[in-house]
Amino acid sequence: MEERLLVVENLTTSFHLQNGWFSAIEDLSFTLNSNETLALVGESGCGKSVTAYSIMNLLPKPGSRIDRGSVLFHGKDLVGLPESQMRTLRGSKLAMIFQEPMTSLNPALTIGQQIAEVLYYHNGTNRKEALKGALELLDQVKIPAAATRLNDYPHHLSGGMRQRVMIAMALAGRPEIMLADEPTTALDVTIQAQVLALLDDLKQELKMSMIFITHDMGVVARVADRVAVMYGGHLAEVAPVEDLFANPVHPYTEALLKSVPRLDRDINDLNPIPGLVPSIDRMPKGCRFAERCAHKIDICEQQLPELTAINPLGNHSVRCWVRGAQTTSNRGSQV
Amino acid sequence: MSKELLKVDGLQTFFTIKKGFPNPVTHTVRAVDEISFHINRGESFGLVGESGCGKSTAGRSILRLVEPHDGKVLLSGQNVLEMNKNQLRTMRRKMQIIFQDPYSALNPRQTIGKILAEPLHVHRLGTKGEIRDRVFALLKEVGLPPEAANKYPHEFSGGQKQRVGIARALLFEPELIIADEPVSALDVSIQSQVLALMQGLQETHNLSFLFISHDLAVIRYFCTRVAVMYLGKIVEQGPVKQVFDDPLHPYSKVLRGASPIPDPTLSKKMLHMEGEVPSPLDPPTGCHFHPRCPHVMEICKKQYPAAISVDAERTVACHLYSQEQIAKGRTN
Repeated sequence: MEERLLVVENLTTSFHLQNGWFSAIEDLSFTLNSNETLALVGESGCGKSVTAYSIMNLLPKPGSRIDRGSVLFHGKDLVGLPESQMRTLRGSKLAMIFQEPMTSLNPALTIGQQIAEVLYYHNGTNRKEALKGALELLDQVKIPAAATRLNDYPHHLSGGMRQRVMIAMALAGRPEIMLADEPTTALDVTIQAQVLALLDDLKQELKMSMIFITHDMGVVARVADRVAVMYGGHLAEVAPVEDLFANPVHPYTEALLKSVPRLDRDINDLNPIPGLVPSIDRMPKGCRFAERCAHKIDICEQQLPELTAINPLGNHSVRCWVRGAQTTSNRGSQV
Repeated sequence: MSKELLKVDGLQTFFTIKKGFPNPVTHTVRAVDEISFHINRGESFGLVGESGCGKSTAGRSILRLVEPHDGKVLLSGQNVLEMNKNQLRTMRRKMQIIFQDPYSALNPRQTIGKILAEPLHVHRLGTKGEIRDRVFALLKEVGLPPEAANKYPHEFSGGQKQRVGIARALLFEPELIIADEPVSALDVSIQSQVLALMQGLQETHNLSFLFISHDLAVIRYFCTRVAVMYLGKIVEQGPVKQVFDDPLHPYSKVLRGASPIPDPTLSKKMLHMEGEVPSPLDPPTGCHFHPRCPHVMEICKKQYPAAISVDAERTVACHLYSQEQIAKGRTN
């Protein structure tokens, strides 16, 4: 039976700009089931990273705040949890890896020390055993000649190896959920393929769940079980991965898939989406995609549609006036 | 006019770096090592490879933004590498470049109008009024409003800045544009806007492109022919469709297999291979790819394979494809 491991409800996070507070994500609700990879996909500024930072309580403060909503992990709300308690969870039950491993690693410590530190603080192992544990973790992320690598500094390693070290650190606390924020975006394609395969193996082996943030639809297709497409701080569409690619319903999802060049087929004309992503201090009143949408009707610019399920199973949801199921009774159903 | 616009023959660009303390040793990096290709008029030619393979250096060497070591670069039959400063300046009107990062390619202290007008003033092409008109015409052509002329680069988004970069490259009605990862820094929906713009301009101006990218899908969309580079060498070249649908060189196969495709039914079968690109400081002997190659043979460790023509348009540099084997039909 699938367990609902993480339940995010009405999560709203705002940032302070010169002229007030503006929400970067608004009323975000989704669940992460055990042993599942949920991909959060969208373009810059859609709020996908903010979502991860809100879940992890890593938002820069002051300057940002969670306005409302809850993040239930095993039934316990992470929003408003005291930092001391959050700290024990972060790095053990919840782990995160970032896009740029060079800036996330301490350049002045060897990678052995950095991994051992996690074990030392979270598991209470002594320093000697922590170093041994670090070695095992490096083996687990398939770093060749791990024993000699322990004494290397981050600058000795290539980008792919650094990302493996980051993953090793994230694994140190045996996390149940791994949040991966564009972990392969900075890597070359062949290295990206290696890291994606590694994450896949680890997920199976350790029975982890993953929230995978990316802008690359190709990577989504590779890693995800379910996909949440974000636009302008909202979820535009949530669906199982096969469904989403075979039957994209939201005009944004559809346009996004149509506008990317494909390696496996000839495309004579790209259909670019006109216009730009709205910035958070100038969000339109209605549907946030309306001004770029080819299918908009009058109501789209007036009123915000709800995220509603469109299939009997209830696992494919869309936030759209034209293509959603706004008239049915399942309005606001759990996604 | 001949069909061929640019011919690059045996181009070599080396860098020397000093490493070590207190007694530094000079190393030579063969960033671009005897590459040859040609670009026809009105054609887009792709150069694809991973970081450090020398694709950007190749593009810069053609413009002589870095000095090549040896080889020939013929633009309409004239050897660019033998030109003096004055000739070079005139030549560069015919060959322009678009950079990857539009943020650092534009002077933050100049307005867009100034950025676009300055090169025309330098080359003394037209009166003030004429130059002004030209700037506005160009802005319109790349899809920017005329007000853009009075704004500074920071007032624009990445996609709009890249449009300015494209407008600047078009100033002199060039014949060839070297586009060095022009859409890599942009968001997906903006990427396709810029690609569509460049494609439109190519048709209206009969431009040729040398399109440098790490993204196979973008190359497939934009280019007709492609060369795959690995550690300074071209390992395979040919029509884009053939090279990507049926790659011959083991490295091209890996690159193709590792590139994600937005289709879950295909993507789950994504290939990967262990190991990383060796340091260009000290490339492996023989074929540079041999330590990672699944088909490695004895000869691969000793001798760099010569480029072999598979058919009229396709070449591959791999010992698996000797002339006899090609005569017998493909072995893979």
